[in-house]
Amino acid sequence: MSQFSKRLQNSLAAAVVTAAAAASPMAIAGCGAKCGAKCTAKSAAKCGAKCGAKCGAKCGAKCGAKCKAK
Amino acid sequence: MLTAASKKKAAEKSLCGFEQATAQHGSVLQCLIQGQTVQAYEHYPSDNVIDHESGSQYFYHSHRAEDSEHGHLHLFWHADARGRRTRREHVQASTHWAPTHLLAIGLASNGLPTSLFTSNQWVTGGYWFDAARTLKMLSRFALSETGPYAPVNRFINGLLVQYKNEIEQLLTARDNEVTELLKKHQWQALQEKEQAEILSFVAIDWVGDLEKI
Repeated sequence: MSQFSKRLQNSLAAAVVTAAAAASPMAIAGCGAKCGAKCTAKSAAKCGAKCGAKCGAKCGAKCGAKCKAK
Repeated sequence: MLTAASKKKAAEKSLCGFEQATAQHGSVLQCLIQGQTVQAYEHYPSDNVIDHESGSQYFYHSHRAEDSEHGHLHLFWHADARGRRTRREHVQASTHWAPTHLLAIGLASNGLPTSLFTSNQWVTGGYWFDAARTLKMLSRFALSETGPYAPVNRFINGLLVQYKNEIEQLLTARDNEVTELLKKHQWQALQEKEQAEILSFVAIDWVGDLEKI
């Protein structure tokens, strides 16, 4: 086993396993944003997405979200 | 051209970041999550990690429960519509700049990198550039290796160099897939097509690859 491989195995042995993601609040709120946008309200106009890309439609968020709201 | 020495140096950097993240926080994921319960589609950290000087940006999120990955890192680089970035300034200094998606890195629940993939603009927005231009952007992608996310930043900086050849293949495959899809769809429709969100995908075996170095 190589030194790199040994180091990785040691690190993996100590690594915390993170639980799977819980349901998205935005799904609950009905916002169809795709990228991690946080939908804070009933309409897409208040979709508070955060990641950088421009969201079209009525959602003014800058996040990479694709707003599907009416 | 990636030499064996460059690849080894990059692997050392990436592994060092991985070890530091695991020792200090529990894992690469935990360094970004900071002990929170992960919620689908949420960004970790919530305001993303942004290197204003180099124009590099990333965040972690999780939403593909059907896959073996826990989630993935989306990597962006801020440039104008021609793919240019001439000044070292805050990423919001110019209204002409947008975060262009470079690629995503899939991670397992213990932080191990498992895949590289690209997506269409339905997922990420931003400007669209071909593989050659995107690779040039990637060569300028650099995250500061100081601050609260330094271990993960180091891990990403190293991984992008270690897998430079695979990333070139990934982006070329993306362009080829787009060329094929454009025979059936208009450009705008293709980029907004939810079913075409993943345009190219490469599984990686970091454990096996480090064994070979």
